[in-house]
Amino acid sequence: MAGVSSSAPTPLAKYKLVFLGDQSVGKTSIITRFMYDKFDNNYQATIGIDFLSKTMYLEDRTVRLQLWDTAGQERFRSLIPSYIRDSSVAVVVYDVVNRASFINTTKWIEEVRNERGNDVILVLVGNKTDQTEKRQVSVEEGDAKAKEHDIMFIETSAKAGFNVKALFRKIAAALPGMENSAMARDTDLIDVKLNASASTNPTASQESSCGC
Amino acid sequence: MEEVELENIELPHAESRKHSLGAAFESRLNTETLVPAARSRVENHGTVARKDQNRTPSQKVGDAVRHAKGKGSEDPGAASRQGPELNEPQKVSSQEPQRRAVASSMPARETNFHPHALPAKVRQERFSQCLHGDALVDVDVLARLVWIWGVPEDAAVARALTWKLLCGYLPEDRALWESTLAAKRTEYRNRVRELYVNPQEEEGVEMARNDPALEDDHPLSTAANSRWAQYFKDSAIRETINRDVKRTQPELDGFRPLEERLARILFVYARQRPKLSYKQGMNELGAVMLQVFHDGRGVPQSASSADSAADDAEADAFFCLEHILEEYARFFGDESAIQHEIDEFSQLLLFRDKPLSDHFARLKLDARFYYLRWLRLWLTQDFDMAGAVLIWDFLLSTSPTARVRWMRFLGLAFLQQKRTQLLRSDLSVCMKLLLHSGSGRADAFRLLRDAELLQCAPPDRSRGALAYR
Repeated sequence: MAGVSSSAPTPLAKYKLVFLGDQSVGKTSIITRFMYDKFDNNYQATIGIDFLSKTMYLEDRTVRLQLWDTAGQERFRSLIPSYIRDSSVAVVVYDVVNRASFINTTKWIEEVRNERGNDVILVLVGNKTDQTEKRQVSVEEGDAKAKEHDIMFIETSAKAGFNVKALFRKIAAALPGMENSAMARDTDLIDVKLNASASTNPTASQESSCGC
Repeated sequence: MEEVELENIELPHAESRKHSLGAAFESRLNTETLVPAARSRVENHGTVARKDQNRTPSQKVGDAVRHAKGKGSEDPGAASRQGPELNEPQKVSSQEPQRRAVASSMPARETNFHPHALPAKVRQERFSQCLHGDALVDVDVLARLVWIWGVPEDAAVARALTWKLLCGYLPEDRALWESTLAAKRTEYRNRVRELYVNPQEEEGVEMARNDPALEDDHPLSTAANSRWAQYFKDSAIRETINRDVKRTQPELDGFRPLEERLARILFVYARQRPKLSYKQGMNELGAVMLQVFHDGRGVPQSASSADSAADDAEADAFFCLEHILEEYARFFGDESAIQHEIDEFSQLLLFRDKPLSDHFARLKLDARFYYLRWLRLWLTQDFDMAGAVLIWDFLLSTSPTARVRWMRFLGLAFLQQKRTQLLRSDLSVCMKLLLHSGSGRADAFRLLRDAELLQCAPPDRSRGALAYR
């Protein structure tokens, strides 16, 4: 649908996204799925920070997303805030089979609010929905927490390719200057309810595909 | 073209080298500043003969040592016959004048000094001569051999032994090796036994009952000395460690059976230093250490001795990891130490390559984005195991202080190798070049050589630090 690239006459709008969350919740996996549409069970732990960028072709414009992938265990005061500071978007990820990582999202959200106040798009992401049997955090809980903090919410499975593109569509739709664009209509894509077959079904990625 | 430029670069440096030469063999650090040229000459052997005409006599002393080691490269037989004499540890330091004479009489022979011209078998013999030739191993000589060549590729046992010596885990006196190892390995086993106690197990409960202080201990206890509280804390640490161990060296199938051992090493370390505990990245350092010791554990005689050899390798890896972290833990736990080192590196880059430094500044590409990882992991995530191990050979052969300094030059060399591309690229491509260009042993060798060149060469602020390459 929106996949056709139009040569943008204006310089690319660049947006910085920072990925936060506990160790091993799947930050790198989500980014890799988005970038290259692939998944590996074992990415090396991110040390310090990693960076990737991708151009997204939307219906009415093209944007460049700069993705900052942080190390889950990094707690140095001067490190994380400096990455958060000039980000337009903060993506706080937890692992739905790891309750502690969900509880800790409060801390990450606060950290972002401390740096950026309300001048930032915050998204809460529950990853690893493919592991249905081991799930420790329900969709409702995730949704409730997002509402409590007044931020966006989505569940993904980087492994199954589920909702990852939807996540980035959702982010793109919310970017400054995008409010009135056609993008906003696509937000219904993200509320796809999970069930066991959808989450493990390899075609899940196609279902939520949005041609970006 | 290349040769001319090389000579231009060499001349000003001759002065500084001459000054440091008086004490050259006195201190370890000075020997280190001398040796680096070896590897560069090693690779540029085609240019060496010409360069030699410009060399001062004092430079030739350094050459002599290298020459002596490289002698016989054409004839493996001759090399092994000369081996004992050449590797006599004391001679390197105390018989310097004679070597000077040797050097000036046979300068042309140096062109043979090339690691690939020297058959692996000969290099192995050198090592084994140094390791086994005498009752006392001269670790300084060993360090220098490692510096120049790295441990021979296929000498797994020699590498394990070499690393143990370089880490100071084994004493120089061979007669003490067996007892030292036995004591250390028992110590490790005892620590593991103490730490892996489950209070639920009968024995644990029994102990708690018998200990009046722990009479009231129960799973919800918040008492400082509660075994249960400690048990839950331990479980959390262990889980953190396991998450990383599972994804350590993911490309290396051979590492999978070692996961449990690595997790144990990291846990024992974390418990030993509760304030620091486990930090991400220690897994990478531990993995290299463990893999090398596991590969170098020798041929097991039976199934049970295979198990115990693997246990021994684990214990050895623990103590050697502990040794390198003694100096290095600050880069995992001390923010100001990290910042200081990042600043040092940024300064070096600015001084050696202003255009690149400016380019990075324009892109807001902070050195911490890449150098933090390189520094902490000894570039382990940037090379495959064979490449990483070569870099480790080199770093372990230096003193802990020099090691940090050398990391800067390795980092600078890494940047210089990709300089042309980096200068042309935007932030995302730069970051990709810096963090996602995994490479192998040959690249590691090139990196080491370039780092040495950089350490010797005067800065060239406009053309990049390796402009003469």
